[in-house]
Parts: sequence; C-alpha cells; structure tokens
Amino acid sequence: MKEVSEEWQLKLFDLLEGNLNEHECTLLMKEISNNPDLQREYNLLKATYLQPDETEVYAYKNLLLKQGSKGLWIRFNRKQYAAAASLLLICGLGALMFLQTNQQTEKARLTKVTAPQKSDMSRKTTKDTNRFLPIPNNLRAIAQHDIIATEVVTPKLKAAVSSDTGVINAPQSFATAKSEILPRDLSLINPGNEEINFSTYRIWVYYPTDGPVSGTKKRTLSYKLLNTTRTMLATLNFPSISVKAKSVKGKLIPAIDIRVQLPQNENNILANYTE
Amino acid sequence: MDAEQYNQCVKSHSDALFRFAFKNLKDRDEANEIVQIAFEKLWLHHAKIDAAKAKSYLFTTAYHAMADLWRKSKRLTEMTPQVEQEKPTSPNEFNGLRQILHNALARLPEIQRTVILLRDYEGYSYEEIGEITHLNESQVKVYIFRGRQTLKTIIGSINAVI
Repeated sequence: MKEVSEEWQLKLFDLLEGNLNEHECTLLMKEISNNPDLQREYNLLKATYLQPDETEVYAYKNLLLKQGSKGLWIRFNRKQYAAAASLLLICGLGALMFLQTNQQTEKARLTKVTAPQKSDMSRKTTKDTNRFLPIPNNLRAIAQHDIIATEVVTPKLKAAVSSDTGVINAPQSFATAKSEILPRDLSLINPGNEEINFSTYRIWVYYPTDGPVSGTKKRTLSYKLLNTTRTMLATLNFPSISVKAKSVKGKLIPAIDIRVQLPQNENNILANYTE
Repeated sequence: MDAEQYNQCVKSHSDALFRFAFKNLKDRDEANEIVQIAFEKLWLHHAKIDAAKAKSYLFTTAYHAMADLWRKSKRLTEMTPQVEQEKPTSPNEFNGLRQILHNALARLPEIQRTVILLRDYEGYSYEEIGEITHLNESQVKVYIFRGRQTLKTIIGSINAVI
C-alpha cells in the first residue's frame, strides 16, 4: 500500500468538490479504477463528506415567528417557563396571604368601633371595594426622563415610551423603530386628573427579551431578567405612582410592558398598557 | 423583508442554522441561543435586508456569535487549568461511520469545522463561505482541504484499528 502523493490528493479533492470539468473527471475516474491506492484514498476522502442529521431540529421555531406589528414576543425555553410559572405562583400565594391578613385586621378593627362609627366604616368599606374596579382607560404610562434612576446607566439610547402621547407602544413597535429603553423610573399618571376611586394597585413590569439588543449584553440581560427579575411587583398609589425598573447596572432593557392587576383578583390581568 | 418573509425564513432556515450551530458548539443550549441571536438581529434589521440574502445574513451572524463564544471560552480555558485528560477514542464507542465522522469533526479547528459544515450542510460555494467567514476563496479551499485531510486520517486510522 503506497502513500498517495499530495498532487493526487489535491486532484481527488477537486474531483469530489466538483472543481473539475467533465473530461478531467472521466480521466481521473479511469485512473482511480486502475489504481487500488488511489481507489482507497478516494473512498476515504469521499467518506469525509457530511450529511446533515435531519432529526436535529430547532425546537423553539414558533417563538421566533412574528405577527405583523402586534403581539408580545417572549422567548422562553421550558426551564424559563417553569421558573416563570413558579414565580407567578409564589407571587399569587403571597398576595393572597397579604389580602387575607388585611381582611382579618380590618375585621378586628371593625369589631372595636362604636355603632355610628360602624356606619361610617361600612360606607368606607364599600368605597374601598370600588377601588378594585377595572382601571380607567384614560390612564397612560410615561417614562419620566428627568428622574435619575437609582441604577446608574449611560443614557445613550432612546426611550421606548413616547413622551408626547404618554403611551407605551407595543414591544414589537420598539423593535421596528429600533428604539430601546434604559432602566429608569416609570410613572403611571392620570392625565385628566379624574377622580379615581381606588388607591392601590399591583403593577407587573415585564421585560420582553426580543427587543433590539444584541451581542453579549443581550445574553447577559436575558439570563438575568428571565431567571431573576423578569417580573416585578410594586404597590402604587394614585394619582402619582412610580415603578422602579430594576436592572443590572449597565444592562439594556429593550422595552417595558406594564400590566396593571387589581389586588382582588390575582389571576386576572385587567389592563395591559402596551398598545 | 416584511414579517411574512421573516416568518418564512424562520420556517426555512432555523433548523439548518440550529444544526450548524449545534455541530459547531456541541452544546444544545448554546446552539439555541445562537439561533435566537441570529433571528433577533435579522428581525432588528429586517427592513434593510433583502429576503434573498436573509439566509446568508443568518449564517454570518451565527458564525460571528459563535466566534465570540469561542474567544470567551478560550480565555476561560487559559485561566482554568485542565484536569481531565481527553479520553482516547476506541472503535467500541462508535456506532457507525457517521458517528466516527462527527466525532472526528469535533476535533477539527473551529474554522475548518465551520467551512466544512457550511460546504456540506448548506452547499455554499467557496465564495459564499468566504463572505460568511470573512476569508478569501483560496483560504476557504485550503481550510476545507486541510479539514478533509484530517478527517480522512482519523477515519483511516479508526478503519485500520477495526
């Protein structure tokens, strides 16, 4: 068994790569069929050509799909879904316990009051119940550009929230507009100064990860947010309320989706401020 | 490129992109992330990208993202002393030529592995591979040739053992 020279190896390579014309191919194939060493070399080289394994497919295809400019796109894998579900469950249970404790305290207080005070209190309780009605439609969320965030970040990118209209655009719109938001304070305001019959909300702030960030920052960000601070819970008071968008220092947040959930129904998000 | 064309790209190229990343990185999670990064970038720039060039854009982005990972992992490897010795391969570990070939592929230098995968999996020309990897055609050809020679040697030696 002889070693095949590099010149022949190159010819065999060109043959298999399709770099030779028909005539050259025919001549070389003849040569190969007459020479067992060349034949062996040819077979070995031919064996180095890979075939894709069609059984290996990308499992999260559906999460990459877009639907025009609508929709919120969050790319979770199974572990992240599980983590998110656990987080929601814990938050839900916590909120339930909080409400129960409040109710017990309220009952205990009511038993102590005198008869006329009781009447006042019952009116107040009715009013308190009203505060958990669906959120008014005229509420808008804006970014307060002037507030200095507790996390010091370099403000080199545009905010995702329109300060003109005070409306938070859908995250998809941010991606299209190539604008990004930095961790900053947000406020929910009531621009019409209308009377609001409730004073306490729970605000959930989501950070969709499909925004226009890329590279290593994106990866770090998505891990951090998905695993730890993807959702935030804050208790807010009207008419002036604010949410601190907590983030890792220096990391970018592509867009912020604020969902307002009334305390009475933990499982029901009643208003979604992304439009 | 509009959203519909982008979605078509997801359907047509995500599997191939995943296979390309997975064969290169040998890590499913990292490969998933590479695919996600590539499509995110595509979506971010979709208004500027021609649908016909989307596939090439995806593979280029994926390649660069993988190159970043390799650079990072090399830095980490330099800092962490390697304790485990590479296990010698034996014919018993393999269940066919395909397995032998894919194990051999993993031993190639990253650039050789990348160009061979782009050539064999996607059927890209030397010129197209050059655009993705920022190499010229001759360099691509040389890397493919050297990669195949190495693969051939590995396959040949294992065949001889068997």
